[in-house]
Amino acid sequence: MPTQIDEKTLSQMSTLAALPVEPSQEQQTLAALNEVLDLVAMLESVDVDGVLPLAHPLERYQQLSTDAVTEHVDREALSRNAPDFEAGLYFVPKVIE
Amino acid sequence: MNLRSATIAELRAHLDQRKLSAVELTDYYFERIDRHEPTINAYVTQLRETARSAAVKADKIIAAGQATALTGIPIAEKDLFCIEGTKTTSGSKMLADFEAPYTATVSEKLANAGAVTLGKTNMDEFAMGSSNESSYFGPVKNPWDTSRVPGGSSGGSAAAVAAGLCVASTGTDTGGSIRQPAALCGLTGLKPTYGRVSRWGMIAFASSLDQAGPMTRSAKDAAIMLEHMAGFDPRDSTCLTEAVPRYSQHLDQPIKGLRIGVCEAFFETALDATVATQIREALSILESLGATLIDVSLPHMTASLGAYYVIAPAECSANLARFDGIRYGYRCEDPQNLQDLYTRSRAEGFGQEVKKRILVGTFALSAGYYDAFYGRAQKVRRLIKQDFVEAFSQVDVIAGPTTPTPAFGLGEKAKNSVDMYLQDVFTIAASLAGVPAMSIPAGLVSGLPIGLQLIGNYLDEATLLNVAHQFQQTTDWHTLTAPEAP
Repeated sequence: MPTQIDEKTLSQMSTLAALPVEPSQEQQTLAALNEVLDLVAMLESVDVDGVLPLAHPLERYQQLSTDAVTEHVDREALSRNAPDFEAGLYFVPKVIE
Repeated sequence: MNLRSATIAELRAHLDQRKLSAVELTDYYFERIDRHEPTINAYVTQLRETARSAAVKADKIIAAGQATALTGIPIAEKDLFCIEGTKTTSGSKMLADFEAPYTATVSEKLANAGAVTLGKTNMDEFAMGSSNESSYFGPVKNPWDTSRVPGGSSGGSAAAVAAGLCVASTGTDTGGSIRQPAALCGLTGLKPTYGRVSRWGMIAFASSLDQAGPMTRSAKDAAIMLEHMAGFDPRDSTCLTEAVPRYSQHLDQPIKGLRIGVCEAFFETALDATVATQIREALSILESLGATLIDVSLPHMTASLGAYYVIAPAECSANLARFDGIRYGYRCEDPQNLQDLYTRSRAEGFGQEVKKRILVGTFALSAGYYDAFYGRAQKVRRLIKQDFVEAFSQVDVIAGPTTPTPAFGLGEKAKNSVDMYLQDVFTIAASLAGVPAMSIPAGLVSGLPIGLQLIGNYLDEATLLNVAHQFQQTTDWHTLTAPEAP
């Protein structure tokens, strides 16, 4: 378990999360993230050999529902929160030049 | 009856006997909000018009003799429950202008029961925090001492009840976000078993941990609220199908012979000595009521904070990936291209704490680190669950402190986030295991409230509520009210 994130890893994470970190904020962000990793390092001392991961606290399977339409999506209502929406389309900056 | 501190149960009698109308009660609370909200900052949005219409409707239902326990009762909802046509912000700039297109199951159930929703309460951004200081809408003040935090993330919900700005409220708890603010504001707060309450329409933080619950002035009120909030919902595939007991009808069982587990590890950490003394006293009160105190061991509890700060950020990084500035939420000005739109909208829309947790979660889930962090944390989570399963083979309830200290000062822990995370050191294990847990008032330390945490077995909220109610029949800590804010 690596205990520290360096500049290179931070840059990778920033790309993956689509969350740019300003150069002026880089050291501060690294310090904050590594503070959390220092806390998380306590997991290393736990013997987890042969232990299965637990994803659902009650270990239940998700409920299945019948394959039938029960609700209708109100597209107009959903689009009202879109920053740029017109004629049924979400507008974004030009993708193909 | 003092309306400012009245419980749901007390108000019910007054409403049904027509000593008071739901409209008068609603007006009373809005007058209090006008007076104290500028200091407390508990609400992000006030719903005056819809509240008044709901109160008028409630009075008609009461007149027809068809009232439920909640008809005409003024409540507040944490601002992550979607209510159709209402601003729902989750305490974030990202959703500052978001108007919910549908209503959360919890909110729908409470409205159907006749509750009058006065407004949406302030909270830590996306429920990430223990002080309510990460809200885009400014910090909430603790009504007991306005230089201190109310706890978080359901800080606005807690402060609203404690300041007499509503009778009861809804909160959500991912690692302690109902119990910790309840403790710091002198309230009763309950996090149900994972899946007991539907998460549909609740803005997600960490989906395998998030659970909604009530924040109230008594255990009886918590029972009334929970029985109206809980139950199977086909729209949430993790929602449990078990029938919901009438919790409020099962509060009078004597606790003689009840086995209460005490984990000494709770008292060996950073627990304030005065809080420890007060909690020991609360335990002896339970003993005097006939309960037997039994030592239990939760050997992996010390690792719970570590497991939580991998699992919760991992799930948050996935859940918050949906905020891209396109379909809803904040969009940056003049994006240069699609990538710029994504990244700048997220960088400008999220606050510091949220960004940090997204980055930690992204790291924990990324190739090369997944097994060492996320995989290991999930294995530790199983060990924590097994600790509780083992403990509940010996005892009916586990009792201990909710928080290490009473409310701390605004800004006091802003510089060191790990210090802030330690606020939840006693509450996180129950969240990871998915068992129900609650906090009830257990005294004052330097004039500030502290909480006794009661943890129950899976789906045994009824026993928790009964123990809490019996404790509140003997003590009056829950009846104390915060001084009036300026």
